[in-house]
Amino acid sequence: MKIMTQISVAAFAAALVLSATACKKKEETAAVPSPAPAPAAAPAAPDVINVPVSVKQVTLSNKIDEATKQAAMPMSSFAASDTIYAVVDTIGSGKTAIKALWTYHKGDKTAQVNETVQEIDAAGPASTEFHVSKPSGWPVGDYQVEVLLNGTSASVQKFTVK
Amino acid sequence: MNASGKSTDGDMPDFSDVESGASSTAKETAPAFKMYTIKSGDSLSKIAKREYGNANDWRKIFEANQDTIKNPDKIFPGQEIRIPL
Repeated sequence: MKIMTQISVAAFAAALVLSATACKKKEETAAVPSPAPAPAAAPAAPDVINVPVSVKQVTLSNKIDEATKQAAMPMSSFAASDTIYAVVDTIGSGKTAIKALWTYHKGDKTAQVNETVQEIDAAGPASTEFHVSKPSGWPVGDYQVEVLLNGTSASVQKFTVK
Repeated sequence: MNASGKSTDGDMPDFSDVESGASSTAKETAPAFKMYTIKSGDSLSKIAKREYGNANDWRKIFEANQDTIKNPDKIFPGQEIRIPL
């Protein structure tokens, strides 16, 4: 009986120690509140207005929406009777001369197809379309349109006529 | 090749009948134009007739090139001019 009493006392004491330790940890935890998460920095909005005009993308198609100048469907292969559109999406602002230089390629030879320039005064994102057609039909083969901003090449898109 | 769209290489197709245009959602500061290289025998009237169907429209081309053409009767082969579209 005495042995049982001693074991019970020891067990009780151990339980007290464990309980006290747990409480202390809780107190410590409560005493040192975790720092509030720093507010996430707002992502910097891309400044698409107060920067010089640059090309975002060039899309080729045989049809566009006249109002928005957006390509109906991106294409890289055209029929001989197609009117071929190159839609130049730009960001930035300012006066810019956008040139579309269309060329035909056969082996290592190149023939110039057309060179058209549109001067714009952009006040933000804009879409500028260039189009070419050939009443007698496009020769089958490989072509490309190079887009230049103020004389500097900004994009080259290759396409074929089948 | 030259800027008129006609290849000088007989092996290459002729693109002299290509029609072109341009437009923008941004403010257009001037009408779109295409570049053309003067050939022997050209005159502004002939070019206007070919491009617009009316030789009297030569003045439209002249006015678009007043920085490089001082006298409409004096243009030279190889000279690059702007043709308003």
